[in-house]
Amino acid sequence: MSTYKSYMDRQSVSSDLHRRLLALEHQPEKKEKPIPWGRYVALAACLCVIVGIGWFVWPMLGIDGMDAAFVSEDSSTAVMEEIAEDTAEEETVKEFWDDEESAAAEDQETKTGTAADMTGDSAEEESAAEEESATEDAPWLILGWLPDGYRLTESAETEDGYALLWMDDAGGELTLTWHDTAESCPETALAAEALAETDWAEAVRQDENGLSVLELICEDGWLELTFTGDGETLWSVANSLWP
Amino acid sequence: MFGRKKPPEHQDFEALVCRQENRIYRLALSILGNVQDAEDQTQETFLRYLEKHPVFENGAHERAWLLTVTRNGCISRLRSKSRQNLPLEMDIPTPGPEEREEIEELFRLPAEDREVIHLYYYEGWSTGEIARMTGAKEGTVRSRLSRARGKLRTLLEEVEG
Repeated sequence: MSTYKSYMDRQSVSSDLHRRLLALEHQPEKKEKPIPWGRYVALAACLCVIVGIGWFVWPMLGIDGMDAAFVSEDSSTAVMEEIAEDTAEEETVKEFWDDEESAAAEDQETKTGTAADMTGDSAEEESAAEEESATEDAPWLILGWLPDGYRLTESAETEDGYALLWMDDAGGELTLTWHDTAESCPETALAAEALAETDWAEAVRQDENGLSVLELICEDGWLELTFTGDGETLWSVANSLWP
Repeated sequence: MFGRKKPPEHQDFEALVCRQENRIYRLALSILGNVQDAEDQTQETFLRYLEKHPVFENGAHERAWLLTVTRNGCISRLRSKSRQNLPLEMDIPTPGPEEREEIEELFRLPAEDREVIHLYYYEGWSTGEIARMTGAKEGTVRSRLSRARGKLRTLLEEVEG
């Protein structure tokens, strides 16, 4: 490090820098900036004016500021309940439209089949259209929830015992179309592949194999739907056809 | 630690400049590795002195204050340049032919290592004093010094080899 020492010993400020350093003392000292009190006062005055105007204008707008500012726990609960109700209504509407679309598709298939098989009986078509419109207009009732999460809904026109039963879940819907009695229920009305994972679906497959698993009783506007398998009741629901 | 008063009459700024200017300039040069930056920092240190008007208890106190201000100013300059992505150009007075290799290799060390070497070997400060100045632990200063010596040794061996 002696090399470094001898090198540094030779380093010194230039004469120009030395002169500048000595001149520093005679430079005017930097004065501290005065506190801009005027600016603060003006800012405070503006704030007061804004608050004052707001104090008078706010009630004129008809906004209850105090209510908005202080929301009690009860009121928030009430609001939440209202929101929940609205949401439920929205879900019902959505389900209705979903179901309606499926019904329309099924009806379209029926119409196509009818047109192919028959020679176009306009009277029957009109009555079918009336039935369709009646079905679409009929209320949808949630009959109950199946143990595996499927929900059974129905739309019923009871004068001729016509009923549409829909079973849906989050992933879509399964359709059971039923007329009057259990005997007329098509064996393939329940999509077995969609229900194959449930105990209940196994019972339905038995139905497709000719076993009696489905029984439906309609008395005085009450609909009772019972699913049985191997002589035991698997699931049963009863509900009024009209709300 | 440092009193703040109006400059007492017995403190002669001119004498202070003559007494400390080279010491300050050399520390700045060792850290910054650039003559122009070192001169600017020297001037900045004396401006700081005129602003703060510290009252020193003795010569060691005066030296420590000035070197600490210089050191901190140099670190700020390096950080500022690093932030602005400005190149740290080495521009030191040309060393003699017999000392060229060692000086050039020494200035290739990081600034923090050069600072420690300068304060320890040139200013003769202890590792404890350097630790107090830099705000680091004494062990850190020792390890930094050892590391700097090792790097310098390696660099010189590479040059000689």
